[in-house]
Amino acid sequence: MRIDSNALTQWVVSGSQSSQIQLAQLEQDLSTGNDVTQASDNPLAYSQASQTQASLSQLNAYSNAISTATTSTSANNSAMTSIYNAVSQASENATSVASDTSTANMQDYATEISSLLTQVISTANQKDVNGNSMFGGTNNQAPLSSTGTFNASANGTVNSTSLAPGNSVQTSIVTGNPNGSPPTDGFLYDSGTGVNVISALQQTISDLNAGNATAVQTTDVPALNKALDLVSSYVGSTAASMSAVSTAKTQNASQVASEGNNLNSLTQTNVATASVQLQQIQNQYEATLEAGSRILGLSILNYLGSTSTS
Amino acid sequence: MSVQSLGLNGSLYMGAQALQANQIAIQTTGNNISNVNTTGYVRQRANFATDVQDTSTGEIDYGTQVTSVENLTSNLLNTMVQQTLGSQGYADNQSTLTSTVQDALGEQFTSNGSSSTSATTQAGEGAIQNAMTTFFTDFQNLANNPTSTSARQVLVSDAQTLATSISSAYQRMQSTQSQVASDASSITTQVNQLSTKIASLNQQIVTLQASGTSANEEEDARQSDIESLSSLVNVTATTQSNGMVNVALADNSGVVLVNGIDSNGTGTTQSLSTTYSATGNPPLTVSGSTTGTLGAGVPSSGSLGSDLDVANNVIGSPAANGNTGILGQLDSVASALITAVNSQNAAGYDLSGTKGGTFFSGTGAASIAVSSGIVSNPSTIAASGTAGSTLDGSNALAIANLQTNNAAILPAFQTMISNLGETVSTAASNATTQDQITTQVQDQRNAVSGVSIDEEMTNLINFQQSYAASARFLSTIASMYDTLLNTGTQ
Repeated sequence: MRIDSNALTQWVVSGSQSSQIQLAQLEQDLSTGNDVTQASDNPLAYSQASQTQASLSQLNAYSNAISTATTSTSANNSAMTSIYNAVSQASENATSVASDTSTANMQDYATEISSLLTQVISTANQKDVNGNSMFGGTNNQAPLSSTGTFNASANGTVNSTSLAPGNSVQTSIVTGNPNGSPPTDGFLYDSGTGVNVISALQQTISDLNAGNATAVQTTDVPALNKALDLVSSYVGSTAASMSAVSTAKTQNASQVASEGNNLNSLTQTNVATASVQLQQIQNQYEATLEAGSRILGLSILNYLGSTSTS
Repeated sequence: MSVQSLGLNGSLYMGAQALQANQIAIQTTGNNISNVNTTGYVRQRANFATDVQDTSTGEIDYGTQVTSVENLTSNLLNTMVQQTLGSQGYADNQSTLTSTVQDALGEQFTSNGSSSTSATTQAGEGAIQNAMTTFFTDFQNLANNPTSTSARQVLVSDAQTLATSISSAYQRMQSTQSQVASDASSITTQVNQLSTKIASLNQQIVTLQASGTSANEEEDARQSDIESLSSLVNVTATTQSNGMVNVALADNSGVVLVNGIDSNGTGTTQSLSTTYSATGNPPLTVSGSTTGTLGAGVPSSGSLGSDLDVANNVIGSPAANGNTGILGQLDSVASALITAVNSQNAAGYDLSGTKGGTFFSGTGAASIAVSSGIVSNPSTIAASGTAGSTLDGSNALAIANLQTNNAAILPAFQTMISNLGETVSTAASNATTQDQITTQVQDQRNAVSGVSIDEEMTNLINFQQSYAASARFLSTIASMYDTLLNTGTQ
């Protein structure tokens, strides 16, 4: 094949351009840490990375939900433990009446249990950091009056939080409401067993103030023990919710890490591979320049000049 | 065998002929050398032939003469170069334009510089997908804190960002399409100008050849113009018996751009023009001055063919006007987003227990915006699934779940971006391949037509020595004349 003078120049320019383009791309990959920034860089990897990114975003939202649920379930469990301790203390006091039926002591017990009732009402009416009533239901009503009357307008509907696709955990509990329409069950009232924690405490206080030791022993103590059983079951269920949230938290963290690693492997530069490629292209570039500098300088003109002067 | 003598006069004539022939050859060599870097120049060769003259006693050789100065070219290779330039023009333009479209859409990953073991190391930046996932995440956060004023305000702000991202991308696409259309218009102007030049060169070539003058330079210029034209639009060039070249669109031979000395609407020829309408279907069309609008996808190659493809198929038309390309898909995604979010929001209840209303206003990518009622009062976002249940975030969660449950929103957008990436990647690959093919064909043609300085310098020495020898020959004949003339005086 015949070669014209410009062909050599063009080949050297073309070869060095090709090397420079590859070097620029590798330099960009290494300096930014990403070898897939646009879909055209690697359409398949970009597609997978987009889906992974969307999944990560959703996992982060679930992570926020888990954080909120952790706070809620922990607060629920603390409240249930507090109420359980109060009812337990009231039950102990009422039981003590069997060995101490003096009017003065019974009134002391009544005062103490009255204080415990106030504590239970206060706990049941407590609000979260956003000022929302924690145990009245989703319509955000205080479940009890200050004297312990159930608020008829509290709907007693519980809330669940979605912690992962297909994994919802109950993150709110309610007092229950015998005055609701319809009545609802909760940790202070259960329609199935007829347990009403507030009524049990109020009746015990009333009987103690009246000096009715018999009623305290035969009616109030059993009622308080049933109330204790009801609250105890909520201590257990809130602890179970805490555990479920904790498990979801662990799974979420694992998935976030896994998806994050997937995203990195799809889009981030493999430094070792890129460095080797950089060296290879650098060698190729140097070879092109070396060959070009040798070939382009050659011409018959060089030899014609020396011939004519010799 | 007897040899006829020329006599001293005949020998003088022979020497003069040789000097002239070598002078022409040296002149041709000089022309080749001086044009070594001239684009489209075809090397020339002085063709020598024996100067044989008939006499009454038979043929007599009078040395040499230059019968012609020939352009060393190959019509086959010229045609091949012309065709590959059309494909290269398409591929190069397609690669540039599709990449521009992708850049204009602005979807890309950026690193936050975290280590490879970190979880969320990447995020879309200034992009629709990022805005979309943030929007749905905000709804999920609202589901967890339905009464939170700050969660509602953040949601409204991010919803506005999403709406702006979509409408801005839509406007950028339309702007890019308009720029492509402007480029196409500019190309048709160049096509018409080149047609005029080719017709003018046809005229010059025929005139020169009729007067017996070489038209090599004009033929080079015409071939160069035909190749420039081919890179703009795929054409067929047919050489006529009179030396003129006629040019017509390859996709429609009825659209003649050059017919002999006619072009740009004179005679049977036509000029090209473009029409662009953002609401047209298709938006960009090419017309012949008498044929009218050419068919869809005509021309199919050259830069103009690429402009048509990118404007009409890659960028495309919105839903109302054809629903094709990025504009159609973006419009569909926006429409699905508006419909689905509005429908779910209307199914829920806001903080005051009132039935939810419209969340997004508008009907598509061009008009999407957050409804003014939501912007002015974020408490009207219907997060609750039950009237009066302010702590119930079930409806907000249902909207958040649209991210994965509704294939027409985020998945459709992701597919759109991936397909565009595939288009850009393929176009870049095609451009590289087509460049290589063009280079190979041009190298083959340059092997025939290109100037080699080494070769020319060698020829120059050869012709210089021939010229010197011819001069010495003349000098010898002159000396013989002197000898003959001085014979009587001695």
